[in-house]
Order: sequence, then structure tokens, then C-alpha cells
Amino acid sequence: MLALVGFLAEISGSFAPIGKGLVYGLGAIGPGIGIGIIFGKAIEAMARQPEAAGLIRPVMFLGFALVEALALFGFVLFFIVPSK
Amino acid sequence: MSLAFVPPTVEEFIYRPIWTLHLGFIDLPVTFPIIVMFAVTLFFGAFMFRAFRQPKLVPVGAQNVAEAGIDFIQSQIVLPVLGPEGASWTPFLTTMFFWVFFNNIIAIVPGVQFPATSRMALPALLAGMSWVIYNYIGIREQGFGGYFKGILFPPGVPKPIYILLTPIEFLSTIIFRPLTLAIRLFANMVAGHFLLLVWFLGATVFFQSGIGKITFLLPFGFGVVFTAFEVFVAGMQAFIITILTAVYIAGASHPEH
Repeated sequence: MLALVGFLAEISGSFAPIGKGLVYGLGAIGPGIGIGIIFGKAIEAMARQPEAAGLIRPVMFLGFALVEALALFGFVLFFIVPSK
Repeated sequence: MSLAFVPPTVEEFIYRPIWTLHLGFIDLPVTFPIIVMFAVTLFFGAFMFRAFRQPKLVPVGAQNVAEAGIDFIQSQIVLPVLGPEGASWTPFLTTMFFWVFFNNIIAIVPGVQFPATSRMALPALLAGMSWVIYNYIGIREQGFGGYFKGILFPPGVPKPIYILLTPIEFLSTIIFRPLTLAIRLFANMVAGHFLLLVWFLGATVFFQSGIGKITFLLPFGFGVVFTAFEVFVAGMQAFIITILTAVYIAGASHPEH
């Protein structure tokens, strides 16, 4: 425990790299949940009505793409946030 | 042997200009991605020209392949999204899909291995084109007032909600649509390229290290798997940017009820 405190005390300098990591990590939470819901619901729908699978699939990918864009904003922000 | 693993940075995407075109007062630096893009465009154009130079009733060879591609766009994007009256959009959407697809897939072609679409200029150009087209179609089909009334004041909403809804609708339709369209394609290709770089650089480091050369098989195997994943992503992103353009055009050409 003391060693950990000593180690933490020794950490000096910029926390920006941690922030950079957090930008994407936090940005991926919401889209992660969203994509899970989209695919889960699509599977449910296809299982209930297999004949409608062709109708559901393009809409599923459309929703997937729209939600995924948010995660990618986090990815792009990773590069925009200055590292110092 | 050192075990120095240098993670890939943004530098991987920056190329020095090979030569510079001087056009009057504008300098156009020609870089590797530009050459890749023009080579892909030329290849695609040459293929399509060869396929439809002398079209036959019963397609053979190149014409067969090209017709399968066009049929895919027609049946998966044009008919479900734009309907039969949108058939005139097939040439544009087909070109868009295959141009983006070939510029994506070049990321895993040995010798090139750089997705031209991972430079923001290309997705931005496509998104700008899509933005101009759907706004033009909207204004042409519904009139300037009708089109913007449809966007900013969608019917069937209680009056006070418009204070909240109108700015959001304006931002999402006019500003964020092209932005997300461009960033989606760009970020996907950058992320994919990074992923492959990390796996294969890791494999190189393990191979050069003293500790059991055989360990390089793990990152290398993952690299191979992710290369296959990149093929999927390349097709997927080309499909998504095309179907979203079609959806925006369809949304602009009919007023909301």
C-alpha cells in the first residue's frame, strides 16, 4: 500500500495522455450500448419474422452506421486533443 | 536485440509531396495517396469502359461482373430507398459505391497498403457532393421555402417544442449530416489502418526479438484476421456512405407528412 502511494506520488508531469485515452473510452460507452440494442433488436425481429430479414438488414446497418458515427467522433477527438 | 516497439502515429498518414504542380498561382502538391486515388479511378474507369464498350444482350466476362455490381446497387440501395422512380440515380450511386470501395480495399492490396480514403480530402469531397445534391434536390422538388419549412418546422409538433426542435433539426440536417458522412468513412479507414499497423509492427518486433521467434505468430495471426475484417469494413463503409446518400436524397425529394 505504501509502495503504491509512493508510486502515485512519483507520477509527475502531464495527465493529458490519460485524458486522451479517456476521450475515446468515454465516447465509446454510449455507442456501445446503442449498437448492442440495434443488433439485438434486429436479431429479435429476424427470428420472429425470418421472411422480413431482407427488409430489416439495410435498416439495421443504417442505424448501426448512425450510432457508430458517435464513437468515431471520440476516435477523431483522440487525435485533436493535444498531448501536452 | 532491442525490444523497442514504436507505436504508429499520425505520421503514418502524412506523405511528402513527390512533385508539385504549378497551376498559375495555385500549387498542387502531388503525394502518394493522390497517385493511389487516380490509379484506382483509372482502373475502375478502364474496367467499366471495357465492360460496356460493346454491350451484349447475354453478358460475358467483364460485362457480367459489372452488371452484377450494378444489379447489387439497384436491388439493395436504389429500389428499397428511392423506389422505382429513383432509378435514374443508379449510375451516380454505383459510381460512388465502387469508387469508395476500391479506394478502401486498396488498403490491403500488397505493395500499396494505404487506404486513399483515410485522407480527409476524399471523404470530405464525397460528403460535400452529397450535401450539395440533396439540398439541390430538396429545393428543386419542394421549393426553397417548402424545403426549409419541412426541415425546420416538421408538422405534427406542439408549437412551443419548435423552440427546442428547430435548432436541433437545422444543426443535424444542414451541418452534422455531411460532417458525420465524411468522418464515418475517414475514421473507419484510419482506425483500420492503425489496427493493421499495430498487429504487423508487433509481429516484426516479436520476430526480431530473442525470446522465441515463434511468438510472432500470435500478432501475425491477429493481423491476418483483421485484414479479413478490413475487407468487410471496406465494403461496409462504401455501402453505408452510398445508402445514406440515397436516404438523404429520398428524404429531400418528398415533403414530410
